Amino acid sequence: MSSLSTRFKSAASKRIVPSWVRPWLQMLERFLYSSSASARAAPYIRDGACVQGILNNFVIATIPCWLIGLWNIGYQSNLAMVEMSLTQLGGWRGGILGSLGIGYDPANMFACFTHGLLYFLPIFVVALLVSSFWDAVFSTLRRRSLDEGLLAFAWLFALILPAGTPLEQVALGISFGSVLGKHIYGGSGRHLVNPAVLGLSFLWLAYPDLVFGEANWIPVPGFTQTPELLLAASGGIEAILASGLNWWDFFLGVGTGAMGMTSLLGSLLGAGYLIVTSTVSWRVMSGVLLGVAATAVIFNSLPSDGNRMFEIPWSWHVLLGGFGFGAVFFATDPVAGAMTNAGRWVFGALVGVLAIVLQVMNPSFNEAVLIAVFLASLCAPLIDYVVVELYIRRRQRRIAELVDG
Amino acid sequence: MIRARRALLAPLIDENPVTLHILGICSAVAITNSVYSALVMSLAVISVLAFSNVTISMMRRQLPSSVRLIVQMTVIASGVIVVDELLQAFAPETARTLSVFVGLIITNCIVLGRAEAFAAQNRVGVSFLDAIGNGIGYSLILISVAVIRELFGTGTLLDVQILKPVSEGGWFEPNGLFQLAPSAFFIIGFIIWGIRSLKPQQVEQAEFESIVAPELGGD
Repeated sequence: MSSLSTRFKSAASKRIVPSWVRPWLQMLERFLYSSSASARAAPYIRDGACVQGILNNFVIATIPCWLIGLWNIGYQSNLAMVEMSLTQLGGWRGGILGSLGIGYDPANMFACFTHGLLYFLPIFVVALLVSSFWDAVFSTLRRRSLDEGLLAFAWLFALILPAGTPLEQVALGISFGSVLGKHIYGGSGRHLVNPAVLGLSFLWLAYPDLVFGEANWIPVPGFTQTPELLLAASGGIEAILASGLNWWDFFLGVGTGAMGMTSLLGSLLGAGYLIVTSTVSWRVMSGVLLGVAATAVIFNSLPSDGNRMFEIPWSWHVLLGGFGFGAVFFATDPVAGAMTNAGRWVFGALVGVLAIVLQVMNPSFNEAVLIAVFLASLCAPLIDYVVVELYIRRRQRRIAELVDG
Repeated sequence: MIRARRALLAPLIDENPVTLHILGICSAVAITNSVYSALVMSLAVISVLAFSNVTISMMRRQLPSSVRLIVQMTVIASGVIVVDELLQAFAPETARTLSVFVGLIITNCIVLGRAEAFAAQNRVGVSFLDAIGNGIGYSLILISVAVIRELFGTGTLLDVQILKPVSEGGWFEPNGLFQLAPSAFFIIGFIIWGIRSLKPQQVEQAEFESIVAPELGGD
């Protein structure tokens, strides 16, 4: 095994193959073997963790969300089929589900998960292939080793899309995110805004109806579902409860939303994993929670002009619009967020405040938290600058006092 | 002769006011959502530039340097007002779509920049050529951005349907982002990226030295 690995590595890195083949060999190598290299110059990370390892921690942490999310997509689709009294799905998905005898029973967890998986896989594979293509192009042009964020950003991007997203739009979105979000800054670990969030913002601005239309959340043909945020805007919490789901159902992850974003429970499990492995800072998440609670309380006390999102308490805000997922996996982005500890609190609070303001003022966009992360990321360098300046000033004052005293 | 050629041709790519000096970005972002308004804007800027460069070059010997900026601004503002009035009289529809941006040519740094940097020290003829060159350089960028934005944003060029949208039975899905102003920023960015990759002498000196981590793994 090790001799095979060594031979493979030398083929991938040495000049015995043409330079344009090397990125592709490296890509294969990355999937098969872990890297033995470590950083030899600053900035150091506390242990052997490399950029790729840290990003792959995000992938591992999202697995609960992924499992619950795919089950939810299948469950909602199967429920919709019962409602429309469909017994069979057309197309290749129907072919696979039918020939394997899995069926469309909403009560069968495995059937629901498989149904959801059949929507997730094409989107994920397209995102992965297209971003691999761009990674290979830039790695060839710049004669650098392959970018580390290959798997992580494609994975996260697939999780934040609605299940019915057309595949061309997936390819366009990940291209935009990968090239403009990642490669023009020099690759993963140098980005200004999380590339997956940038790709999503592109889709949101470019194709709002095509990607985030009401027919896309639950991808059964001909079925439309109004997301809970819009329901709450017109009828308050009662409108959400009227669908027969309660707080705990939404906490678990039943609801309308992007493929991986519905479950707060899954996000909390992921948050636990990320904090235990020291991948992200707990300060950002606490900051987000503070920002959300404060803003929701303020909105509750304001008079509204018919928009009943104003009266939603913060305990419901954290369930709607994929909030938990965005707060745990995107607000904590170790590169795009603030780097100082005090800055992390401020950054988190800013994400929380912006997310609730967007969610309340414009409930038609279901993933406001990601736009909030986008906007806050742009402020992160400023936040860090202010924190560092204040710290320097405090130290100088202390020195001045010592000298005077 | 070489000087005249240079004044006319250098601003097209090598010293393009938009992509090298990063001037006139405001209007390049604001009015490039259709090719027609980009064309009108280009004509307006070219005429204002030519007028101001020629006038300022003619009075360059009489102008005391202490008040020259004020006089230059006055000349440019007069030119802009004339263009604005002409547009409102003969093309009121276009004047409405361009709204304040014709008036804002006064603040377009290309115009004042050429007056101050070139016309104030050069003869009338060569100043005129410099104005035309810079105006065309600006128009080149404006029109390329507008072509991209109109084509991908609505599928039309000069209001002629080129790509048939899905809503009318075609295959093209209009991309709403290209009709929004931010798209012009990254299109101009891409153009600058392309030009500087072809002409590396345009790349600015780095303001700080970056520490590049040694390559991991690879060779």
